[in-house]
Amino acid sequence: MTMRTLALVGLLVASAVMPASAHHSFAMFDRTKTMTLKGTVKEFQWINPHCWIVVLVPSAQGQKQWAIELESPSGLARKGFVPKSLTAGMEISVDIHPLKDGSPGGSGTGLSLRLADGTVKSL
Amino acid sequence: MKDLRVWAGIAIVVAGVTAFWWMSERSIAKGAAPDISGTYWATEYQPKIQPIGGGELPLTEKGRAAYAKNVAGLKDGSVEDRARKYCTPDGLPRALATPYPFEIIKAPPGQILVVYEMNHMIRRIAMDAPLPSAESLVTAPYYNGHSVGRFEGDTLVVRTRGFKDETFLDATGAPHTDMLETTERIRRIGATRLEDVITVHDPEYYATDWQVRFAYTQRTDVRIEDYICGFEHRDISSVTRRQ
Amino acid sequence: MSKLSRWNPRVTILCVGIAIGVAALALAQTARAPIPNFAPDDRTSWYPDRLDGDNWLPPEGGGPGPILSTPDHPYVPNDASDQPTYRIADLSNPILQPWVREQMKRDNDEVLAGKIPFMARERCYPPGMAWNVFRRVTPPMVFFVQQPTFVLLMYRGDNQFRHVYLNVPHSAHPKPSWNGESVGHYENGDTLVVDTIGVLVHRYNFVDNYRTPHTDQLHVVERYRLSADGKTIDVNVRFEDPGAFTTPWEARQHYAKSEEGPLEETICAESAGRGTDLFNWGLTHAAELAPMPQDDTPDF
Repeated sequence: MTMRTLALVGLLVASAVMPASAHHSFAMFDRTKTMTLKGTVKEFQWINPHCWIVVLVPSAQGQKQWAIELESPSGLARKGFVPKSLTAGMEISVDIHPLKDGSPGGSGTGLSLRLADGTVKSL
Repeated sequence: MKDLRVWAGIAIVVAGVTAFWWMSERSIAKGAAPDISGTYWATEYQPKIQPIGGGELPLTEKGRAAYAKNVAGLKDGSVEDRARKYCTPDGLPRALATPYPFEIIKAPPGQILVVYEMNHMIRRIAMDAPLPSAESLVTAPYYNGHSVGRFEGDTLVVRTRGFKDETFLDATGAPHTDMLETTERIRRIGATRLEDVITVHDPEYYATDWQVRFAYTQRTDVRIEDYICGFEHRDISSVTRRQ
Repeated sequence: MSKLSRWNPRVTILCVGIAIGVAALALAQTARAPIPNFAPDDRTSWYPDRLDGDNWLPPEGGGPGPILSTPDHPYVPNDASDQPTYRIADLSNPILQPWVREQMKRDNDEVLAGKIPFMARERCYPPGMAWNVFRRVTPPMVFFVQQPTFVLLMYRGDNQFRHVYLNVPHSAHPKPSWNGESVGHYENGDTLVVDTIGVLVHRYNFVDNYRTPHTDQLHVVERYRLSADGKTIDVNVRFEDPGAFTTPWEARQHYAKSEEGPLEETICAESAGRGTDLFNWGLTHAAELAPMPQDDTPDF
């Protein structure tokens, strides 16, 4: 089985839990760049087609709200996440591929998240 | 000859009775459940849920705090009523208070569907199936929960758990946790009426289980319509608003 | 006296009567015309078994057919490549009235300029008469619920549904609705025929994912034919709308059976006001996305 076929199968499986079109997932993020955000969880959205972490990150102007797109609930569940894995007020550090247009957002899929107690979770 | 005509007439009656008996025997042999299918519509609507027996909801201290937070948040906009704003499903028991019609459909084998016009909700009740454990549903909660059902005599008993915790129990913001469990007893009360008595079990917010009753009229002249959030919907002036 | 000579005609007539009653019943049961069984159980559903299953297929044997992509901008779905594309409609298709061609050219130009096109399933709108190309992802997806007087068609995706009322005529003046008024009947023991009129005209109500519009004259006839082995459904759809199209045209869909079922609760509006709406995607994108349906003044 070629790598391309494997990737295609993987995408097909992923698409089973992503009912909406995911064009943006491929085009909007700069996958050549990785940056780390440190901040406070405002919200952990356990929703389809993607879960989201909304993080408040300190900046020169005060706090900036960043939205981080993750996998679907079933994808995150397989990695050990539950809806209450992250709650408002938690301090986290998370790696993301940022949005190409510079807006405060990015994708965390395939990268890592670190909790205040040092626990590292794969996204 | 007259004698034979009389006997022929009796034979026809006997044939008819035999046919009727055979049909009923076959129905009973198939274990026919009560037929509660049809389209139903409430005649009244109450935004604030009214427990059977009256009085206030038996809230715990945590429940009171959550209720106060919801009420304040709905007022100042920091808490959204997503069921009304974005037309996500209302959850239980709030969906049972709908002032729009709904339809109970007993098909295909293995399930009963309840199809609501409001917010185009579909509740699926898995018949004669075990209720999944609360733990197994934590990562896949539903707005309207996961339901299983069985008939007990003339009553459909529906147990539900695995609710998303972003819904309210009613329009005032009565709270619930993701450990909410409900039990409904749904049955016909008369030729054209249906009642649903639902028991609410959520010990973190409610010190005791409590019940509320909803009643509906069957309507053979009503078809479920398309429902899109923010668009014009059917006239519900026939539904009396209490409170 | 022998047993024969004690034969009683009255008793005979009684027995014959009972026998006739039972036989008539049995005949009535077997004489009911067979119908296709799209849902032998609650786990059975149907899905378009190809990556571009959210595009219509052209009619067999040629003839006026659906809008598809221009050859120089082929549609590549998400799962076919990590370089997916948006749809650019082939406007050389002769079925389009001039005003429709002009409108769709404007849509094409916007996409070519980098704008994100509207898709009903992404912005939480019902499918309308793009019902059979609404979603393409893997099962469970499309469900049939067959009752004696109606068939309920359901999508797992966003729990959209529509009723087809059997063996009744259309209303004289159906109130326009997003999915229209559908009546139907069974044919040949293997086909469900669905006839739809009264489809609401709206800027987001299309007959496909190429944003092909229609008028209030739209009349759609769908034929769902279940294969002999019960594993596939061939769908043939005829679109007629002299206000939008120069000629009636046909399109096809092909479903494969899945037993992955049953219906799950999946709600598109779960992400309304959340998720991608949070990004705002910078100034270049924020205003592009069609607003998801929202009710700021609820009816009750």
